[in-house]
Amino acid sequence: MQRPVNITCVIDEDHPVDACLGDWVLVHVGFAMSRIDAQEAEKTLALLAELGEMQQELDAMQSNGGQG
Amino acid sequence: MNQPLHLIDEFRDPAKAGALIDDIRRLLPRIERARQSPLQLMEFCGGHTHTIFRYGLEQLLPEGIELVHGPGCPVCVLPRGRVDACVALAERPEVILATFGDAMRVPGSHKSLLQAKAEGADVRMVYSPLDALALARKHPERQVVFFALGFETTMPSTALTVLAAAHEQIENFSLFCNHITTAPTIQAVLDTPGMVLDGFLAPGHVGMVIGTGPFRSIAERYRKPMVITGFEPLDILQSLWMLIKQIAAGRAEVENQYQRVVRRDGNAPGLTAMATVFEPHSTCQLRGLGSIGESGVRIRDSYARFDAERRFKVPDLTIADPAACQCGEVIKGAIRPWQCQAFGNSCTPQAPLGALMVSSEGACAAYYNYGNLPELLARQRQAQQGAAAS
Amino acid sequence: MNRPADKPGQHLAADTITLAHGAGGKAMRQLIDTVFVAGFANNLLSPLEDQARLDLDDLLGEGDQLAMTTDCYVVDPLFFPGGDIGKLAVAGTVNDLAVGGAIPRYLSCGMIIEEGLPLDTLRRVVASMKSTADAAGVRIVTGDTKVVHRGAADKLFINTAGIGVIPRGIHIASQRARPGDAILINGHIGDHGAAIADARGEMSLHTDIQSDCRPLNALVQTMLAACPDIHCLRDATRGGVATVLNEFAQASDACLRIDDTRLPIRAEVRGLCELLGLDPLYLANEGKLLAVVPADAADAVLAAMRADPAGEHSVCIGHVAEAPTGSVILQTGFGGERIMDMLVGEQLPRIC
Repeated sequence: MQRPVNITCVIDEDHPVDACLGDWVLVHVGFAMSRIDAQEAEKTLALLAELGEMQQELDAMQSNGGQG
Repeated sequence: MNQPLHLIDEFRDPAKAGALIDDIRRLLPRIERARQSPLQLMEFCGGHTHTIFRYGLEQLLPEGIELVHGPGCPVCVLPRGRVDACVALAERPEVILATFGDAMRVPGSHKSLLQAKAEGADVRMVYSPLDALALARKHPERQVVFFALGFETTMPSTALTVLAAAHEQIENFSLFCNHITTAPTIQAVLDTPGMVLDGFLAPGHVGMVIGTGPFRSIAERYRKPMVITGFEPLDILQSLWMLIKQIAAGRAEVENQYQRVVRRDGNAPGLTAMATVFEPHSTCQLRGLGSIGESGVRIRDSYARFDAERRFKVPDLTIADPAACQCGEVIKGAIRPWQCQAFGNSCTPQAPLGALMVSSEGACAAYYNYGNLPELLARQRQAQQGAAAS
Repeated sequence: MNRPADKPGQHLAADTITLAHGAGGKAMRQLIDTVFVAGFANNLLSPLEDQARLDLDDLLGEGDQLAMTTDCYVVDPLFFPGGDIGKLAVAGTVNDLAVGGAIPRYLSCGMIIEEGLPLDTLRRVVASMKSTADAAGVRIVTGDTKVVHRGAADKLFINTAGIGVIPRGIHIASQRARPGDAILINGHIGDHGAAIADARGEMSLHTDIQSDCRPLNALVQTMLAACPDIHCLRDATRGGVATVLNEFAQASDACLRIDDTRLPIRAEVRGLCELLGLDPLYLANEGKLLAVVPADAADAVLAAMRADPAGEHSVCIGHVAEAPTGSVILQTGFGGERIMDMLVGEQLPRIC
């Protein structure tokens, strides 16, 4: 899907127009409002995955304790 | 089978939800306050309310947590007088009134924009204020008025559109400005007498614009934990978990769950555009919350020619909500939608009394559409009988 | 996207429909002969009596019940990716017959034309109706044309009525959903609604989404061959999948439970819905049907559907349960569930 989007809010001196190619951005009412930080997204997901593993270990310990 | 949407579907992965819910369940008994009565956690933003209902998240939470749906739906807090003024603008023969779809059904005293359109007003739904500006370019003989709504999330977009209109010298474009600011509105909720809230999910897209600072000062002043939250179901569950951890540890801080989008200082170009075009307005009427100091904005004198209210002499009407309507109490979180006597009776999505029944982000419409209606109405009757007996 | 060139424009009188074409005189006769009779090309229409005469014995050979339906078609723009108003007007009425189990046979065609419509536009619509009718194996056997003043109609409105024959032993009805039954759909949801939203150009979007507009009568006959005891069948047009499911649930006094994760929706349609705040379950379809079938026949029906070009992406999306009666419940994949009600009015984009 294509739609023209205004990119004023995601460019600055350190990130000129050319640098935007390939960026994932959050678009709101026709304006790119934020570059989505893929590393931060990964970190959030990794944290959730880690929590899941910890829970599994906890559950395993409890079920070994006879809970079934 | 369905192709995934990158950076969206990862945050809708149910496999990752279980661990969050399990840990919330583990933490709750350690919270002294939660042993007395359920923790009251408010999601301020209508976008969050929508996600919570769309994914049925409330049912997943253990007992001991209640979600309170806050006032952060821009069309829900729009007072009737402003809808009336907008309808009056739309009915001027020279005007094309451009609006987001959200505002079409909001009831005024006599009619909504949708009804005005049916009666012949030229009302156009647009996706972006830039599309409204394009209408002005296309119809130089008409006056295009954009119905500017929303919290800080949408303010940069309308400000940048006004700047574009000024730059191109498009003289037949103006804004009917109904923007409101978030921080004073949250404070109004917290200042409500008898309000018991244990924590907040703060609106992520507002945070994206204004940064984390304004939330920090509220958290410090009221000593309430806050988490700036994204809009996918895992974002919301993770943020609830972060709130519970804060409460368990006795902290009242602002944390940022939505790191992938929200930066500490917000969006500099957006804030600059807002400050160029808008200035704080002394007070602003919000449906249900009444008059809130400094919550409104208006267009600066230097851009007055783009202000529909100065161009067209829009009447400044203050019209009370219908007496039976308790939208205000619901917005403040003082009562649940079904505790309003009008809910499901004189107020339904087919014939709404209040805005909360109109918007798909409104708490009443969400309960009506997605909740178990017969059970809610039974509870409503029980409560009434209980009140009558005592 | 600019509006397509089907808006009545500044054409010469000879190239456009005028009030004379509806006045009953020579101009009208010429229009009927050169556009409709030539375009629909069949021996039942060409005598131009005031009514079509249909052979009863021929119909009796196919079943014991006559099915009849009518529908009006208004769409803006007239031509859209994947179809046009003519294709819609034939496929829509064919499908309304087909989902009753009927073999569609004959259609009527009534047109209300706004003066100024380019003649070429009308010819293209008629050609599209003819090719769709051929594909569905039906004939357009009678018709009527009215021309109205500018502004009294929007370019072109079409009404088609249709009759078909229901073979013996078929008892499809929306009140027959029973606990345990499987709920099937023949492919991706919301393509037509999304294609129209795009084609209108109001939201300045550019997508590759095509309308799913197509006749489904062959698919239905394939399904009935696999399981003559299909309980409920309906095409999910206006109001979308959610509306049809609610109609089944209310008519059958049953609860339809749908698994959110199994709903087939194209990435582009999902993307458009995310952007505009629309729910694909309420978007219109013009080539999608929902079937409620006995659980033990579900696999056979699905296999038959997938072998048909109109059903390659068929899936089972849920099952019928007992309570709460009259409701459709969506299981969200998150373990949560929510009630999926009918819409109050038109679905409006939710943006701010």
